Amino acid sequence: MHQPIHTQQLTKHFGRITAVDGINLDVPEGALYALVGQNGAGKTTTIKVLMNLIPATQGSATILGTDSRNIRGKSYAQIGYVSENQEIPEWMKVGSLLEYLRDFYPTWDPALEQSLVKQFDLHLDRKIKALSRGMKMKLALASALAFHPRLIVLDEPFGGLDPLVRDQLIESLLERAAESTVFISSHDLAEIESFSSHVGYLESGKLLFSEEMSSLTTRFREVEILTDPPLPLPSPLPATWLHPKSSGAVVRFIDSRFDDQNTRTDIQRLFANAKDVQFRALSLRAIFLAMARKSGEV
Amino acid sequence: MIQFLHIFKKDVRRHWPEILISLALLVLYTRHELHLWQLSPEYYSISSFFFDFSGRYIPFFLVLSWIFLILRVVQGETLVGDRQWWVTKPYVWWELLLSKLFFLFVVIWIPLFNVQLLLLVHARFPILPNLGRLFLIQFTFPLVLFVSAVALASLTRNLPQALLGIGILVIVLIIGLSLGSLSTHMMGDSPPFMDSLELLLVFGSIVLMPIWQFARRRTGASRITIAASVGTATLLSLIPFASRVEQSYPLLATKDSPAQFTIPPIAESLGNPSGIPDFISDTLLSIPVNVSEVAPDSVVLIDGMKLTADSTDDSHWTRGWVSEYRQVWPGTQRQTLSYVVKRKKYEEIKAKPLNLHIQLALSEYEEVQARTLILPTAAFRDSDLGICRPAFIRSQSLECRKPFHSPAYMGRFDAPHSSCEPLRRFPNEYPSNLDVAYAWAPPTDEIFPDPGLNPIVDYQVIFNPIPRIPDPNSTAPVEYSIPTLCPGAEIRLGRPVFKRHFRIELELPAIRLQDLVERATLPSALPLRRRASSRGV
Repeated sequence: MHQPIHTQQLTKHFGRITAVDGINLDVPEGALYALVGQNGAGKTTTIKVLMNLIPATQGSATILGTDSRNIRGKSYAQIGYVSENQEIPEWMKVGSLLEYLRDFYPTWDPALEQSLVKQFDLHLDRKIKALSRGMKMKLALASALAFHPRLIVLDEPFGGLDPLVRDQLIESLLERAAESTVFISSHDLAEIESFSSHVGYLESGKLLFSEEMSSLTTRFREVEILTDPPLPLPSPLPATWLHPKSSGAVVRFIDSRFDDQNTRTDIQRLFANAKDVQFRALSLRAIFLAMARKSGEV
Repeated sequence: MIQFLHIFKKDVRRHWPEILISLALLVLYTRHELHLWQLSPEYYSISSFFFDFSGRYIPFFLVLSWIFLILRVVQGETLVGDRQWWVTKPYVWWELLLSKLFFLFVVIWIPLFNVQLLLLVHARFPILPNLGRLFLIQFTFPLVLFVSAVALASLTRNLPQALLGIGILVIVLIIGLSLGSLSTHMMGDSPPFMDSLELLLVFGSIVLMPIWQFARRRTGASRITIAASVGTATLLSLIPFASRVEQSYPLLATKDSPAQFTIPPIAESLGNPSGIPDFISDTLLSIPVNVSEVAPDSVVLIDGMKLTADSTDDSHWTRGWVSEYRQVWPGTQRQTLSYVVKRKKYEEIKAKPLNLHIQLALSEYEEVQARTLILPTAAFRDSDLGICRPAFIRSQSLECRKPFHSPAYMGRFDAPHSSCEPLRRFPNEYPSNLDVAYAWAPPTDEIFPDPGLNPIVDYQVIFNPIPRIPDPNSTAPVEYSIPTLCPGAEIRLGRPVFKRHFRIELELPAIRLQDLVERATLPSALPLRRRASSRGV
């Protein structure tokens, strides 16, 4: 069985600018994978290359077992793609768009379509041009879900939406999660944290890590050491200890490879005068801030 | 439903206003074309303004509406960019392309084809014998128009981009024409393979690139390929093939030439002929040539000319072969050859005595299947000419119409022996010989129709009087007579058959270019003096 998304050294240059820099990515079947990163990190470019909207400069990618360069036409009968930048045919009405799309998909489910229309409160007789941004995004999502896609790819779907609409979209996504793999890009960590099973972090075109959410939150810990007497920071410290700071008798850092026993052993070796050690779990936001600061230091 | 029909239905639903506009213009065009042959002189005088206006502008707006419709329908699923909604839907590229072509077929081509059938029937030409060529005519103007518009639409994102594309194309054409004016050329001097190559490059790229664009959406590469193909074809078309002219037109000795050419004494200009306005960048030389001994039932055409100037200081100058289009009939006494010299060059050498070496590329045609046609009073049907009638106003021409192309013909009208009264004007410095007038249309590729929308070609058989040499000793005003056709007039009609190409040489020694300058560009009162000598070889 192929992984829904697999890339190998995927690279995209725009002239001298490297937008995507040798990405190796694996999205397992059934995952709800969040590709996160700051604006301009290369998330949209990565998705466009995966969807064969633009060609890769180097490397390769397979989508549902098909080389991404061959993703076109019938391939999209299994992929639901929604992007905040997509130009929906605004001259159509909501109902006529859904009716038009029905014939393109052998797996289109009219009952599911009805249910999504109801769930998203879409008015079939409304012109798309007259819809708000949130309603357009709901319509796009409804049209991308109604045919039971094997892979759902969403590029910044929640940008600028009010919390109510956002929750509705997330809810409908979660309902589909059992039958589909979801690949979603976002720069809003709070919304991703609540439902993602996997996460990848993109920084300046480079994928800094890609792993299961549970493993990520388990391996990052904020460590606080109380020493007596206060001493300067020993050197060298393990490379996985990020942003070490000493303030009087207190030493703080973030361990990016936390393992209770190993971390304690390292602390005892380096801080013989440690009186107390505390480990605190980090939010996704705190983890990314730490990663972003680390890459900024480099 | 089959995908292309599904997309087609959506396009019709979306573009119905544009479809209605193009159909309305097609109706107006049809109405105009139907009335074209039915006009009476009264109709002309009363409604001529409206008729002229509609005749001139409706075809333009009709074609414009088609281009607009094609741009709109193809750009409905634009192939340019990466934000299009449809690109990530299960569209099959060839079904999308097929849907757009089917749209053109149904919305533009079928109505046009029906109009063409109607025009054919209305002009009283049968459908069945003409059906094959009616299909062939679709491969001329309509095909070129549709393919070009589809190519433009597939390589641009929206109407402003398409307009920009047209603008760039116009600039390229202007540059091509400017380059063309710098190089010298003669019609048909390039080898046939070169013409085919140019056609293949241009047409091949505008057919293949949109297909590739539909299949792969590689806009940049497609645009570059088309631009490179058009650029290469333009450059190829500018290559002069002088040696090919000389190969195609073998040199004949004077005695073997089917027409004798000599250069008469040239009048020497006494004044300063540099009174040509400064803004004129070219100088037109006029070289009179006396002609004689053209065989009866034949015509000699002057296709091209090459002028080489040698001066006493051993400098040598030529522009190469340039096109000419002159007819030399039996009885023709005089023709005037025109040759353009760049103003700068002219000013440099105009007063120097030069030895001019003139080569003429000529073609000889013979008349076959000659017959006599007595003009009836009303419109008549002729197996070669189609349906003809004398022009409304007393004139030297017949108005004719025929499906798909005007025929080749050689016509002769013996004006003095007819009862038709000629038109006379005088004085005129280009006198004509009333003895006989000739009409001519060269043989063409009769299988392929003339490009156009209307399958009926309206053309005129014009009987032109042949030029004659004025009597230098006469002081009386010269009569300029135009033969007119009238019912009962006898016309001799035949088909021209190509006999041969050939080339002759003429020498014009010790001449100053300023003595050859086109009189129209000189001050009218410039005194002229007859030169002593010049001769044909």
